[in-house]
Amino acid sequence: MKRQSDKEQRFLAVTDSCKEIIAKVCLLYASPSAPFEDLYQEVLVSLWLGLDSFRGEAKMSTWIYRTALNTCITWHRTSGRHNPGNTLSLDSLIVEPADGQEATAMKEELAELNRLVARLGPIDKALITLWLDEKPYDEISHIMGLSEANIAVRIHRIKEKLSRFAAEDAEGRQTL
Amino acid sequence: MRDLEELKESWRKAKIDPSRLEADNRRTADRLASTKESVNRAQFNQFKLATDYWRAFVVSVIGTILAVLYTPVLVLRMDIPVWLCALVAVFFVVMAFINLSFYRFVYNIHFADLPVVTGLMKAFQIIRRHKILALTRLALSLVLIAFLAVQLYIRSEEAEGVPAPYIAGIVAAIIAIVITAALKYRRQFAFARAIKSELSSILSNN
Repeated sequence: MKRQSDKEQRFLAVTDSCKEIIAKVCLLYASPSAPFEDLYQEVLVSLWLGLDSFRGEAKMSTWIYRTALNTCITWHRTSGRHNPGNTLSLDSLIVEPADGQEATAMKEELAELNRLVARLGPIDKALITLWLDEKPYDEISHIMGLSEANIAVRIHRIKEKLSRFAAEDAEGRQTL
Repeated sequence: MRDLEELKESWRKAKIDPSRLEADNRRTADRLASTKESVNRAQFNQFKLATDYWRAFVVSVIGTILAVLYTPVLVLRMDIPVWLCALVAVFFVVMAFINLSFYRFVYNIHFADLPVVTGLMKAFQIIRRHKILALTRLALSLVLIAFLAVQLYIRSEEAEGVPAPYIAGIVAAIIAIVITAALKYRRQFAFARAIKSELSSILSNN
């Protein structure tokens, strides 16, 4: 019983300190067939199950990213089997930033980013998530299991792809 | 159209409502702590697949025992040759071994600890092995059932009595097995193809 309670305390310490990481990964992978809340819960269960085997060989954030991304990608692959649920919107999750920037403008930007990223494949999405969180290439390499050179090339291509998507969207809006 | 760096800056500055997430973490921690580990695992496909193979292992063991117990009946009452009864028993033993080893292979992979691409490769490996095992299992079962059908038919010819219900049952079993397997594995095989193409594109640049 005491062991279980210790695990609960460790789990809360980990999840509370890394809640932003988990939530942001889930936000980028969320879709109508993979609601944010379900993804978040699934990642928490993965972390709970993996907590005993985490030996601290990798950095805690690396482990959290690996777990969150692996779980979200797995969900992504099997999303057809899940029932569409209510997806929490960015509006209800993002709180105004402390530096006073216009919240509406920021939410619009984040919604645009979400739309663009939604068009990427699951691995590209994982790479861009890490780039957005400003992770150094060596840490991305540990999280993804790819060489740093490959990561640099792929991120460059993903950025080109996203710019192209954004240009297409802008063109589409103009023709309307 | 906004610049990507601009979007990145907004993403970095965005703060997620901490109270909502912390409440979620606490609720989930309480729920997970009061639930059996096996129940928590059950929601993941990996463990579902492992459970399937564990069940198949148990069925194979039961099948082996039944094959041995029913051998006298099959040989004496239905005139099935002893070698065929032995073949059925060996089939179940082989299946038990295959199912147990695959169960252990699937159950012991800790996906959460693995780098993302390695995890995907492992997942692909599981699917490929599962595919091979599924097809092997299906082919061996069909061969065995066909052997039984042929033997029953030969015996019926010799005895001039047609055990039509047995043969009809066997043919129906073959059709049912093929249809069930086709439906069950179609989705998994399609997924294996999709993940393979994505991995190939990643690994060709690594």
